[in-house]
Amino acid sequence: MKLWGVAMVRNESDIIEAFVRHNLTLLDGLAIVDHRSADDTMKILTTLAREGLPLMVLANDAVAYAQKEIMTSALRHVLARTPADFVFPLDADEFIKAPSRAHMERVLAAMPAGAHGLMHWPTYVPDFDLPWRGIVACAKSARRVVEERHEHGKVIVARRFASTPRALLAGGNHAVMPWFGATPADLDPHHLFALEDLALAHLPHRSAQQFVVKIVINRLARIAVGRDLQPNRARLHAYERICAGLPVDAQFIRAMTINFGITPDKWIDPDDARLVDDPFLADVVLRYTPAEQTPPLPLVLTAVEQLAQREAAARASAPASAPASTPAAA
Amino acid sequence: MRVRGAIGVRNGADVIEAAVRHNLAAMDGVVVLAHGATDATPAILDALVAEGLPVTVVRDDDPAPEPTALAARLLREGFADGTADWVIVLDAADFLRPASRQAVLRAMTGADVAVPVAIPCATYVPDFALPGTDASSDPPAPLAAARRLAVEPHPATRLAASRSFAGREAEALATRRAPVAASVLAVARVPVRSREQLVADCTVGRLAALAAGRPEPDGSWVDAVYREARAGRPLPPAFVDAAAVNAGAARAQWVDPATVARVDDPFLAPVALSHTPPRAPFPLAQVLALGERLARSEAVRAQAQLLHGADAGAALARPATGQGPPR
Repeated sequence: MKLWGVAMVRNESDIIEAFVRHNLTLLDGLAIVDHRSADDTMKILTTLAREGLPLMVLANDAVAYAQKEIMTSALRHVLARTPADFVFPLDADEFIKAPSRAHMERVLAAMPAGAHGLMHWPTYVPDFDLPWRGIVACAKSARRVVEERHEHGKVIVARRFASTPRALLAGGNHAVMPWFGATPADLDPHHLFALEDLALAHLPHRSAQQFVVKIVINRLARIAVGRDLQPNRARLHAYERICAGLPVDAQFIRAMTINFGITPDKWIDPDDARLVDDPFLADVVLRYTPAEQTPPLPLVLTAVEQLAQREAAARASAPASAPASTPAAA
Repeated sequence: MRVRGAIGVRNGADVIEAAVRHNLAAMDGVVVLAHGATDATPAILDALVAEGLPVTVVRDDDPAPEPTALAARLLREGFADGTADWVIVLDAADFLRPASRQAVLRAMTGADVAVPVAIPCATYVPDFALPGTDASSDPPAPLAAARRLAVEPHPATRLAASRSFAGREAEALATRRAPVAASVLAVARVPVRSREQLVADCTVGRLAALAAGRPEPDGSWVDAVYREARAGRPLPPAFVDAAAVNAGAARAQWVDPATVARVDDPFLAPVALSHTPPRAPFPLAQVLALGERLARSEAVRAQAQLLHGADAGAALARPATGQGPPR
């Protein structure tokens, strides 16, 4: 059985090496699409590839965050160029969790014919009060939320996806959609694995700096593709909090993490959440990960520069128009 | 004689109220052109209008108007209500010195109405190492504590033009100007009030100019500050001080700030602020506000491309390296 992963990443220099090394303990290869990273993500990936790791490093230059289209394209790229029986669509903050490769193959082989797989997606909460000592220390400090309240799993795509050209990944890699615009009733069967058999550990937030970068750059990229966050999304509230200059402290990030994927009206007090030790990270040794995290402003400036260059190019190719002005008061 | 100020401002929430109140002590009214503001500037201006002050606000969405066009526009807006005999063009952090009508009248009376006037600038620099001036927690503090450069390393002036230039604003910009003695009337300019304001102004300014298709030249003052911020460097007080002393000058022209003496020469009229936010400008928020605007513009273009049949999945991943496993 051949198992591959595919991921789309942006500004993940703090975690990308751990992501690659960990997931390659269970997978035969990874295809990673870098989406305009402004930090060392791409450099780390190319260095890892030069080490001889089974990596396919791709790049996407679009300003907008067309996640499902890019991931679907990358997924088909992998299915066309590798003998993968199953492909795991991943994010850089996700770590496959299984007792062993052999166990993973057994449960995948036992899946019903015609189905895609679906993994539980447990959230891990690091100790945000600790100073940043690198991703390994952060991941080792993380504990799993026991009662996961979001309703999402993460899909494992079977090879037959290659013979269904209209199919695409749903946003967030939560399912395979048989065609664009399909409703939940139209979906092919998805086989849910038991948490202890095969799951995807999710470490969405690592530190205040990483949190701010993730929230604000993701929102800009979403706006650019016409898929802005819905008003009830916690991430939008976080964005507004960041813009208002309010503190993004350990308490706030902890609350955001424990309530990941939950609309603010249904949040629980983080102190009421039960956490359990359930380590997920393989023994990995990092060689290229920078000790310090990149601060938000330079990364945001780079992202906005890209938008500004696009704007300038569009203006240059459009007929001139007079600026509008509005007398407001006299 | 009626004299009106014409002030251009983008994001000036930390200073615009003080500037308007101060300058109204010397002029009959001001018109403020708020262009592309993403901070509290428009709300502050609305509040000043609501107070009944002789303030006219004109709004423009363009965050990076071309400088010459902006100056001409400010003159035009200054003359627009037909009341002004003279219009003085000012930046948001410009303060007439002294703040008195007599001084302004003295400068303008007897001046040749056919010749624009150049009012000299005096650069003021706060002490950025002092707590309370950098944070802008009390907005007038950086202004009140600022000291004048004894000698201007990069002399600048502000334009005043008589009503004879109404309708011929571009000519006023191109005509040789008659200087006013600094002892009669000057403009105290405080281009840098805090590290945060410096970073916010230069990052938004450079990005907005880039989007407008007029990128800042490499090594310009704005570019020099932008590069520091983009590199993630912390901008220590010494750098902020150097940027303030050399405001507007290309990096290659900067003088060592230690060589420029400072003198106590207070300029600020006694103004009571009612609408200025207590917090310092927040660069990340201002950059994001501009980014949101550019992203929405990008979304409109992306939608138009889709409507014209472009395949959203076509321009996707391209190989970045030749590395890959054997099949």
